[in-house]
Amino acid sequence: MRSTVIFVEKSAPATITELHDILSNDLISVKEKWSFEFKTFRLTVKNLPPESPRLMHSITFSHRDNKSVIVKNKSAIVTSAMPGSIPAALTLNGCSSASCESFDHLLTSKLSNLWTQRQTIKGDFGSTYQTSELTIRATNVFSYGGFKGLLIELECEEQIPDSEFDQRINRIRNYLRDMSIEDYKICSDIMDPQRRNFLCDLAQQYVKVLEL
Amino acid sequence: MVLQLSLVSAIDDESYDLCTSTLCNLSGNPPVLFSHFTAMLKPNPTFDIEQTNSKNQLIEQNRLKLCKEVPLDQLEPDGSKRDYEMLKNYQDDKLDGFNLQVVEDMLHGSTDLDRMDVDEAKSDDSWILSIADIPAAGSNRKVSTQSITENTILSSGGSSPSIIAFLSEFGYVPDYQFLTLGVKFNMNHSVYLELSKVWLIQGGESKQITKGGFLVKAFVNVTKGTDIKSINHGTNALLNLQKELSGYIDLTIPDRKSMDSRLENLSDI
Repeated sequence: MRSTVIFVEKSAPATITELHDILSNDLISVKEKWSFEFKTFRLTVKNLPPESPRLMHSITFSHRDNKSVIVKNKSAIVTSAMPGSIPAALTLNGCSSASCESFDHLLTSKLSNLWTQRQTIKGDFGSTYQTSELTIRATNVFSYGGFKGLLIELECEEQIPDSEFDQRINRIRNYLRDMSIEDYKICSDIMDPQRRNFLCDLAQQYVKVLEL
Repeated sequence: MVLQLSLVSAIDDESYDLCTSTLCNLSGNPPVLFSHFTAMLKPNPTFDIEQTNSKNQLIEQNRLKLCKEVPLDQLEPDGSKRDYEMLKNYQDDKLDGFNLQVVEDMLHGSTDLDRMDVDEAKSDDSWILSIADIPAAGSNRKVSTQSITENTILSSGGSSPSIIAFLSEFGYVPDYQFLTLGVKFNMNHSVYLELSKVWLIQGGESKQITKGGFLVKAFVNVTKGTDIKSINHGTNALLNLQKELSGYIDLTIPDRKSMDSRLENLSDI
């Protein structure tokens, strides 16, 4: 499984319709609506060395069982707030009381002396397109009600060589060029090629393109 | 946020047999063997951390608790022998059969890449992360009431995938670790009763802190802290159990201070 995230800041709310039109020849199906929430937290510790990073990001994906990924400085964890997703072994051995809250809640309610929330970026009610090559998710992105741009998440579930994946991505980039979109941020990075974790890598790609 | 109502007591090693059979009869259910490994973390001591947040509210530094199950099937492959009798073999410091190195590795993530491929360590990477408040104060309380905020961590990733690597970025470092081995009874009215032994784990060594006996804990988890009806119901269920067992196991309210996980409280524990 591979993924790439594209963020087009210089776009209009209607750009997503253009994208739909240009993809329509390749479409197998139009799938479920999706949304995501991207939050930035800042470490409030005063005596950190100036070069050490202070920002941490939490990204919640509605289309991936509402899992959240927390990323800081190339280190990430996948968390869940859904009671049904607690592994049975944890509940049976008395580790969990089977009630569960989001990591964001833990931060804002118990650790707000250490971490302060800075901004929230949201993509609501985005579209999912299935082509023979990729699953393409596109959504308009808003921050505090203001339009920020267009975000496109490309996912390939098949096991294919990296070169083949890059070709598929390039086809999408050509479509963007056809729409005369040249200026955008794109990220396909993998944090550790030897130990891939799809969700963590995807979250890191969101961070790279959305971080201002 | 879950509200845990609890009462505690202790029994000695010799009473274990009689106690389990009594509780077994009382509850009508056989005991369930359980084991978990817990790591407590504290804020990085080199950090200069504010006592207040951006809204100028006082937030005291609190420990984080990481908890995960210890698979007992490796300890005793024969499922029929894996029952409450097993606990009688663990009366001193040694934890025979437990590979403490493996337990501690779970925390730090395996550094050996080859072994990770074989063991599929990834699937076994989930933890419960929680923060507990100090139990509610008040002299006329009949049971201990503690609220716990909990989150499930399913896996970790990144350049050094381990829960500890992430949490050190997060501002927390390991403080102390312990392993709990015990049996749990499912009593009536959603009351659970646990008999357990606890070992402190440090650098591959184990030290039993419940030597000579077992910790007894009866508790009810109420999912919503505002659910007064369930709180009253749970309190009454606990008090009934306390009455039923009185003279045999005297369940009492645990010391509030010993249930406090705030950092300043270290010297009191």
